Amino acid sequence: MSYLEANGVRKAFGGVQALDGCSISVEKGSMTGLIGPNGSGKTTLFNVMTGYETVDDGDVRFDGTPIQNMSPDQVFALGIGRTFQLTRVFSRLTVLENMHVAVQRTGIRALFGRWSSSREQERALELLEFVGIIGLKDLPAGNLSYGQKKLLEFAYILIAEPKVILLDEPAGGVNPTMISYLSDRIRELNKMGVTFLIVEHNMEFVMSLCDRVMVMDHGTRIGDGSPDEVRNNPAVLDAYLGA
Amino acid sequence: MTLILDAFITGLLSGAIYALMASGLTLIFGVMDIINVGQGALVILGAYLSFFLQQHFHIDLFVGLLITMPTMFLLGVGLELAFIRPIKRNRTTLSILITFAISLIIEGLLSLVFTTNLVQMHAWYVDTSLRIGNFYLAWVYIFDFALSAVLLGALYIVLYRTKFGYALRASMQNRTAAELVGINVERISAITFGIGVALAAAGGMAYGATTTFNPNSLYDLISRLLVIIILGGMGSLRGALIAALGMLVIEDITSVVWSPIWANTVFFMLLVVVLVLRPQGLFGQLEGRKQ
Amino acid sequence: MRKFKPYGLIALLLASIAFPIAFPSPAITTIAFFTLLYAAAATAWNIFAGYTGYIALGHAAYVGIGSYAMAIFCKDWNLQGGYLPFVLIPLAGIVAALVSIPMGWIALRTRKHTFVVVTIAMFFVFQLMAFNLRGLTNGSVGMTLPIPTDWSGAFFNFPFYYVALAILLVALGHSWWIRHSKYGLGLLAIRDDEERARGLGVKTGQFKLTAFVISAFYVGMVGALHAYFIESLYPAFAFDPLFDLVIALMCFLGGLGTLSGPILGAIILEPTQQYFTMRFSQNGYYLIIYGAMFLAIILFLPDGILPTLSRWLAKRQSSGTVRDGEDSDSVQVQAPSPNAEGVTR
Repeated sequence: MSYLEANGVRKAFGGVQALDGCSISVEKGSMTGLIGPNGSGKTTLFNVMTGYETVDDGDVRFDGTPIQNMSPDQVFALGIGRTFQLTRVFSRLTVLENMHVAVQRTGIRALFGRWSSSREQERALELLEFVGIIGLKDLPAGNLSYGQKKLLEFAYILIAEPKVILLDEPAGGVNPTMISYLSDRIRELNKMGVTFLIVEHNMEFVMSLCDRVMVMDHGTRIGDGSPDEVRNNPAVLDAYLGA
Repeated sequence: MTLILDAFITGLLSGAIYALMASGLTLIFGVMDIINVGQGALVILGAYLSFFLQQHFHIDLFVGLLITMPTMFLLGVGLELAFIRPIKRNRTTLSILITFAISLIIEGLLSLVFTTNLVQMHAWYVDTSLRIGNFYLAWVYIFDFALSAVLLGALYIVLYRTKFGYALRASMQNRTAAELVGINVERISAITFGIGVALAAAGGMAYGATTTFNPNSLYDLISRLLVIIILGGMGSLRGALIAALGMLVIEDITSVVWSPIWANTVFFMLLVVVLVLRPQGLFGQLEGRKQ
Repeated sequence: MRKFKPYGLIALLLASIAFPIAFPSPAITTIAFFTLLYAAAATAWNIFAGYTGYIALGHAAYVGIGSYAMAIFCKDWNLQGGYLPFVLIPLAGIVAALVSIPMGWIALRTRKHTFVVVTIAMFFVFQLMAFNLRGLTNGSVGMTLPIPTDWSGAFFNFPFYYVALAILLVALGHSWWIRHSKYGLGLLAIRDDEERARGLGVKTGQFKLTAFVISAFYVGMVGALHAYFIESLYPAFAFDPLFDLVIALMCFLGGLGTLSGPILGAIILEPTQQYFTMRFSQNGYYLIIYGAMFLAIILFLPDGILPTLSRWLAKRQSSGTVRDGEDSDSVQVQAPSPNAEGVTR
């Protein structure tokens, strides 16, 4: 049994079967890629795995525990973070404030002071420095460029110390320099033990970064293996180039 | 028992009038995502217009609709272009404030022109009744019902059988997608607003013929209309119709069975109860988990 | 600019304390009193609507509840006019807050757009109840409050003014405290992207409801004080549909979500409103002018004064330097720190 897996997940929207018995698995500590043509169900799978959608059938397990149909905050609390295709940051809050939203304090302490511990403040700054946008910390997040917002989203996920991070098209709409910068950051984190599941269209990005790649088409998995194996798999080529 | 039946029938008939007024409101929300809080004022404006035509030019109330409806349609389009179109951000919130401001202006104008004295429209069908067994029903209720049926039926035909209606429904479902397939959503918005206001004109005449009113009546009206569209589910025409009929029937029956004083409170209480059980109203959409 | 801030605030505070002494004319102090009341109400409303982004337009219900609570307490406990009734004001506020808990809970279950309308509908519920629950509220006949007979005409406004000022200061302080707390951060996050905030663990339901109840508390107190000032109460007056529109407009005008925006809005709009009432006591003109003013403000200043001003100032300060993040994704980022170990487990 793997660290994070989906087993036979089915999900339909009206007449559209977005996920049709989809099963994938992610090993602990791995860098797994998920590719597939548009409409293959990748984002729906992500949504299902992180609580943004419910399943019609099948389950999702994290370290053995079923997590399908949980709410997004519950999934997040278990240690699974995710980013979105269209970056979601809190635009009217500053970059630093964005970092602190993800670390919620409950009870009386929430009323006193923005950062209840200097440890949190330190950590936020460390992370901003890690992704390289520390200089922008007091700017409203809405003022950041697209790439910088992506970095911010990445950073505020990290502040909760997730065990698994699901990245939804991290390289989308980003220039080549930034892309290699991003892969470096991701690789560093992976070395430190964070598991990654990455959905991407950018083949170079996925193939160079991931040690295992899964391919989806029409709501189910059609290929699985190392980047080289997948690259040469006729079924995969068919899916991308076929009708 | 006959009293309850009586109440049931009057409830249905009044409900039809409210359905007419509410349909415009929910249509506007469905297409434009804005809440026209001024609908109450526009209804009363329509009522006064009909009244005026009848008093000064002796034009029959129903015939007068041929004048008031197109006029108010144009007014609606004008309002949309002048005050709603320019708002780019926070549309829903600002539109509430704007339409309320428009409501105030209309109320002010009507108070100046017609004073705040209560007004009653007169016509042969208002003053005479049909007798059914022991129970008298003013003819106007029946005519109003017919009017609602005709207009709502026409609305249905326009929405489901014409190209324009098709475009309108597309805009209701997904504005961006509609734009992408070449539908001029802005033009549809203006026309929809116009239709909503025209329906208010008709509703106004129907309402005014059955109740005494003055400019202040708009508050009572808009509060009920809002309740009706929330109950029915905002943006749902079917919901507005059912909610209007249902609410008025319940209100009238409560009035007879319990007391007239509590009748209109029940109206609002019912809203609260429904919202606890079903926040999206009867036919509305629940906000799904989305990205 | 920063250095001046605390001095500026203290100066303002002293000025507002000295105001009635400097301008003792009852006409002026009355206007000042109402301005303070509205400023307090707008600040309270801002705590909810400004910080969470949910526009509630039924807060007049809580004004009314506070007003009636005050009247009923005074009647049941046989209070005489004077200073004692002032003590009841927080109690009236608590009554309003208690009622707002279930109401807020129900209303907040709906979508943002529906929410607005639901609050309006709830307002009408309470107005109707005021009419109907005759045993409690005397129905449309209304109620009276005790009159402080031993206060001379010239003195009368003074205690009211200071109590209003006190309420404003407490509300403002509370608003400031919230804004600088983790709780406030959560609220602002809800405003920007509620779903994302919830996904990150922010307890959005609790947070929103708490803000709602807090704002109802202050607004209830405003109602109580107002009722005591006017000394009489009847349903249409205590539950005034215009109220929410006015405070919403004040907040929008000054800047929704800012600390001083609501106060600025109140200072501008309330004396204007009083002026119009005096000048155009005939209802028709008053409504038309008011409505037109409303429209003008919303159409021309949709962001409010303070945010527009601060943006304008920011532009002037930074003119000449390139704005950060403005151009493409060229990596305007620092080289990663060599010691990235502390970053994750």
